[in-house]
Amino acid sequence: MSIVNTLRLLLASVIVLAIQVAVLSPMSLLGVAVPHLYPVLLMLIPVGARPIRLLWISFTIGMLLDMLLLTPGLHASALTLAGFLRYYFLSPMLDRGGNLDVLPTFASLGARAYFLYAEVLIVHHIVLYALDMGLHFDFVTMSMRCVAGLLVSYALGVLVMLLLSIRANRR
Amino acid sequence: MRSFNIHRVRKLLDFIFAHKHWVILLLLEAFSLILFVGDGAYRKGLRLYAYSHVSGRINEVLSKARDYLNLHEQNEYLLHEKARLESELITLKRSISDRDAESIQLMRDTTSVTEYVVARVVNQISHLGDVYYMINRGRSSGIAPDMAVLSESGVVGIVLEASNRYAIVIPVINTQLRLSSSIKGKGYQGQLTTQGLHRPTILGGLPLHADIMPGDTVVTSGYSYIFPEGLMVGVVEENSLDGIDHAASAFGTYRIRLATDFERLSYVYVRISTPMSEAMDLERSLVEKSL
Repeated sequence: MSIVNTLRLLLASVIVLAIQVAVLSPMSLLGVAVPHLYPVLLMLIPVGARPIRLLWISFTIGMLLDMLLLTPGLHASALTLAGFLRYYFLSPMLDRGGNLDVLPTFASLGARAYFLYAEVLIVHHIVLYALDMGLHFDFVTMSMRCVAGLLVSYALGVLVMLLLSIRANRR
Repeated sequence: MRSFNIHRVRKLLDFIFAHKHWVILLLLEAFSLILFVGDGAYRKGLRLYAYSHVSGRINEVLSKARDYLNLHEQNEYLLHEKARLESELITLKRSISDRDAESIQLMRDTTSVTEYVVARVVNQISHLGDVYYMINRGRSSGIAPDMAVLSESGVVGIVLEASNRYAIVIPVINTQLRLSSSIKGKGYQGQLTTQGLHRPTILGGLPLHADIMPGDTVVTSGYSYIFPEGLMVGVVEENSLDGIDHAASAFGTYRIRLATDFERLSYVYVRISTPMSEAMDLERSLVEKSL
């Protein structure tokens, strides 16, 4: 992972976590949909990242968020699994001999980037909402909250990824 | 038997090494879930630490940022609050002075202040060299012509015209406006006028023998249907009359520094008062009779 990519991920993590804690997490659209923007940070890790690196990065981001939101283990658990599975979701999409230092955005993967993000987000949301419901598991409520949150989060994440693609194209 | 065990351990280690990412995943997930599910001292300690140190500090910074973004809203709120307090203060002063002077009981009833409306100056109009201000409140906010307009520092002018959402204010720096003023604590009264934009504002019509010094406060005299007495107008800047046209006359004329900074005027308070049209009609009829 190049220094540029590392610095970009660090800076983006600070900004995204601040937005998540200050704006998005306290927000609940229509009482059910909480937007989760931070999984988009997994899309700022180069396509060549191995599972162990993905694990540590996603675990660190999740733990930081847990410390800020006072939910020890909740976001870390969901994001760690989503980050780990990103490797297996992405592998079939990569072309042989391609540049492994690029980000999995529209510029490098085309529309597959949005499909990858959807996969990562679905895993993240299922774990997050299942844990959040805990012992008071109610399938209908959980599904409703999960799907609503998923749609809002996906729209928000795609918007960020589009902005990233626009910037990449300008360069 | 021993070599068999070593072989099994080595195979196990090889398996773990080959699948170390899965092992790390399980360890990290287990750690996260223990934190989440467990209710032990460590979790409580982490929550406490996070709350008191990291989260507390970051939330403080975020809160400051939010406050900064809300400054405009808070400023509006403070202006309204200030207008309300100022309104109460003037009403209180008025009621005290009215109580002292029972003879003007009727006047108190007809000039009682109801409220102040905060308005933003949206435009400065220079018409033939005279300045007018447009404000973003009009008849829908209760504003009507001949209402007093103040700033946080002192008198601004009078509402000249009002549409539904806007009003035009003629300020005291307009040559067309004459404001009856007096020297605070000394009782001398005169007319405050200006000689145009960026020209001196003067207080004329004062007796020549009046003991007026630079720094003396000029306030509204109260001889007006619009302004109550005692509102800050400015201070006597100097008794030198250099640069003032027609200064040599039978009356004392003084250069005044206005309390309101017209260069930086952004908000004003319009004093919503009971219409004085009845009193003004009466005065007009008197003038007509004398003619």
